[in-house]
Amino acid sequence: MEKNEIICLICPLACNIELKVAGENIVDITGFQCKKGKEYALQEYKSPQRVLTATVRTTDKTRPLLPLKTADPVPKKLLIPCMKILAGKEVSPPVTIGQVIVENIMDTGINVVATREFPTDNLGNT
Amino acid sequence: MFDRLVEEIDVPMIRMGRLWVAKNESEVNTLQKLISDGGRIGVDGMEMIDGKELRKREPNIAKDFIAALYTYRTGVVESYELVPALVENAQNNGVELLLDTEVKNIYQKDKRIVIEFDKGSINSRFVINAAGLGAVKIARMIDEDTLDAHPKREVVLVTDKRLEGIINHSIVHVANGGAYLNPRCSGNITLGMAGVEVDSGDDINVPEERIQTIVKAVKRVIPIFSSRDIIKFYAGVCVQQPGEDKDFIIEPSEKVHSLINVRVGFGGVTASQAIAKLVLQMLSEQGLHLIKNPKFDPYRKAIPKVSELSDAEKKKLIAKDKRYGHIVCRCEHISEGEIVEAIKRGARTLDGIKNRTRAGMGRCQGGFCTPRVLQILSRELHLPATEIKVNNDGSELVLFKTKELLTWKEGF
Amino acid sequence: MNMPVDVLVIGGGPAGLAAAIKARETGVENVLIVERSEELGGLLYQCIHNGFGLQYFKEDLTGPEYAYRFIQKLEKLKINYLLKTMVLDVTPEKQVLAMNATQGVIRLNPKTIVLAMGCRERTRYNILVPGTRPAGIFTAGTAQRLINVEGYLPGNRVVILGSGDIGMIMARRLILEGAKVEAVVEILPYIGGLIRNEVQCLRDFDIPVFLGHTVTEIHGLNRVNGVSVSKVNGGSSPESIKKIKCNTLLLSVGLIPENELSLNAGIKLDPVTGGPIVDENMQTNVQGIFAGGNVVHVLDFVDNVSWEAEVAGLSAAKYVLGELSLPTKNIKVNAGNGIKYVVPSYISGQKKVTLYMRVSEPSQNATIKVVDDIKENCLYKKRMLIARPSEMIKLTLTKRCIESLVKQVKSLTVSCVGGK
Repeated sequence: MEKNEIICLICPLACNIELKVAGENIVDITGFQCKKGKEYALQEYKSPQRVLTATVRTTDKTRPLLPLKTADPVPKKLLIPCMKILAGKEVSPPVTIGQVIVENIMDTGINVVATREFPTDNLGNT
Repeated sequence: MFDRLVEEIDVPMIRMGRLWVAKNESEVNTLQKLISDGGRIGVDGMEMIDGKELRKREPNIAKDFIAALYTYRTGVVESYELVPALVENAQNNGVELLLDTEVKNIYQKDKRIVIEFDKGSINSRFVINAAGLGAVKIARMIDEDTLDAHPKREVVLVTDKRLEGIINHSIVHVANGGAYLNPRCSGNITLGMAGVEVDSGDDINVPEERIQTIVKAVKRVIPIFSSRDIIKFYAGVCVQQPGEDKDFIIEPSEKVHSLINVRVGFGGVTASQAIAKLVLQMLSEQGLHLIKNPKFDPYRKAIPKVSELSDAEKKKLIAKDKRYGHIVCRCEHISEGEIVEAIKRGARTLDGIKNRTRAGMGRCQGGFCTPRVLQILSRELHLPATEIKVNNDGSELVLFKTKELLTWKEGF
Repeated sequence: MNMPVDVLVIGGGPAGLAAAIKARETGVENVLIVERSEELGGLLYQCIHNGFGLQYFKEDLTGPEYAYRFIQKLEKLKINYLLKTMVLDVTPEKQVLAMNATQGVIRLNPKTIVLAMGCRERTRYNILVPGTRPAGIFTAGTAQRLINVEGYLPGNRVVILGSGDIGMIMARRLILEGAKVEAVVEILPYIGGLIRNEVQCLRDFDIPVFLGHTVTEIHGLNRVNGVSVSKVNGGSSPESIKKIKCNTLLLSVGLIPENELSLNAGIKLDPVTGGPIVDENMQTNVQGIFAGGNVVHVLDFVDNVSWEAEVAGLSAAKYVLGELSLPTKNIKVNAGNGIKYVVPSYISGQKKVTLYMRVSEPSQNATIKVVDDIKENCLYKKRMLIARPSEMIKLTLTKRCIESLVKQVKSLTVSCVGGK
């Protein structure tokens, strides 16, 4: 039997929730103080998801990187594979905030979108 | 000599005077000996003052000092400003500077001295061996083992500029491990003590115990000082001849007379011009025919510090090169123009920029300016940023371009 | 260059943006932001991670997205700003000297100033870490700038000193970019930043964490080749020193409000926060000079930075319009037991006010109390299930609460009592 510890992030109490797992089955779950916490822990154990925030290279030397994010959380185990895919990409201006840079990354159904404006002219300057 | 030199090569120097403080009779006797020693070799400008006078001149000094030796001519200059200025002046007068040129071998051939290094060799009639700790290594190459240099490591603490004015003179407490407080031209104060012997010139480690010892010794002199006032510390290794007070060796080599060994220790900067005159004399005695150079230009202008200029001078400088208007180092107010000029004059590393402009010497220690200085160096030297070093080989600031590691085939 | 300015905002980061926008919305035309970097947004553009705006916008945004909301508003309101422009001096008479490449020397005499310069990072030297001085030592923010904006990875085997949010965020960032994080070393017995970051930056990637430890020596001549890590108060016996091989050391050991300009202007600083002492209008001891954001005290969420800076912007605008009622009295707000500091330091007792504070130690089931200096009347009481020094606590003294203040009150004390 395996013990898994998950810190709940729903509220500032940050309960330490413990799941006892035997093979595929969750035998017991303790430490939560509300229903939301229990649901969070189960979800987190079964299929933890995270929003990926990263950068992608650009063709503009004055702004060599463009920040972006997955529009929704993706499975945690795909974070690094997604980074590898993004490492091979390059974008050129103009790009608008929210524009899709990679569609349906790794077949998750989730898009990677730009998190800033990237106009064609150089950084605005006086 | 020094006053004239710093004026000609445009390097800041302040003769603020030094107070050698004493807290009891035995310490006072040590100071008296300094006076008589100095008198013997013709040093003037020394006088004893009592505790009351000391506290008048230094209101923040600990209350229990009973006397001090005041040497009014003591001055402070920065080696990191002096050396580039001298090098630039030399280059302007035709001297060639070869950097990244480590001497691998040196020997006599016919009547000349051959110096071999990685990328080739040169031969010269005379050689001045002024390689600091390395002078011993050079001497050994011609089988001379009379030269010795026991590396001595000194730790220096640098205070925040907000402490400017806390002391008015350089202060030394001889009995307390030679603890010293030196106000600099920049407004920082450097603090330290006599050094300790180490095994090699590469041992620039700053041990914890040393920091604490210096802080304690300084607090003994200026009680309101605290370690919170420190913005930087570093260790440097210099030469020390053990035993007798033979700090300086300036003489032609026994084995090869046309090689002059110059191995100096504490006080070398102060004596540098006098040493140079002596060396010149030795070269002349060796047969070097000295003729005054009519084209010699003693003047060299420092890189203008735009933040210290008047409005009118600022405007003039910015009109000439607008990069002087773009401040890159927030703490020291150093402009892009100064950094570019430093690169023109030979700076190729982050430390080179720091030494020639002071960018990175402020309280944030390069936190804000480093990425920008990196970018300017990369741009001006036409080198990728991953090849820009902090100082020596192997000190590249950044090791990879972002994404480089992710695209390696081996994965991770 | 010489132009009439009513509200000069020094700093175009989240605080400066919020203050400038609020000043304009309050009815002042001549608002000018002066920013030293190449673009507005301050550090938000290098903070590519999310967690911003959860309270202010009720959305989970990345740093750049949060900045964009404000910059869009600023452009719409046509507020003027200067980039790559450094303010060199501010006098107590509000005379400002600035410089840039295009206009050269700029002298301004604005009616009011809002200080929004933010912070600098504590360095290796500030915390006296012994050892050598090789390449490869960075503060976390500088490393973040290099990785996320300039496009360079400082190194690929990293030790991080400090478990504050910046350190943890950078740990994850480094791993995602292909580097190895050998350890996060934290001097206190608990993680310094948000639990969310502990989970999503450290636990997610199985990064070893050494609580109650610190880096006691840096090794390497030209480049970092390792660090010695020891238990705090663990003595220097060889068993208690772990040597970790690495080529990069990141320091996330605290922020210091950047107040050199404030000192030039004769502004009094609070020795605990490192920032200007301000009243409920975010006004400093110099009439017409206000301050907001991290330059006053290091805040945790950018949402709070925006709200606080808006008070400064609003007050500056009201001052220009002649509508800022000067408080008839100043009631001092003191940090009592269990409280590290409270901002603002003075309130008027004439209107409702929000107090920002941090506790000195983590505690459970403690009570925050605000009492007066007359009979220790308790004005305000709040039970805190969990209180952590890394999490800013906000409490609002309502109009009713303020009205209940006895006329003779000279000071209030905020304390945190009864917890574990």
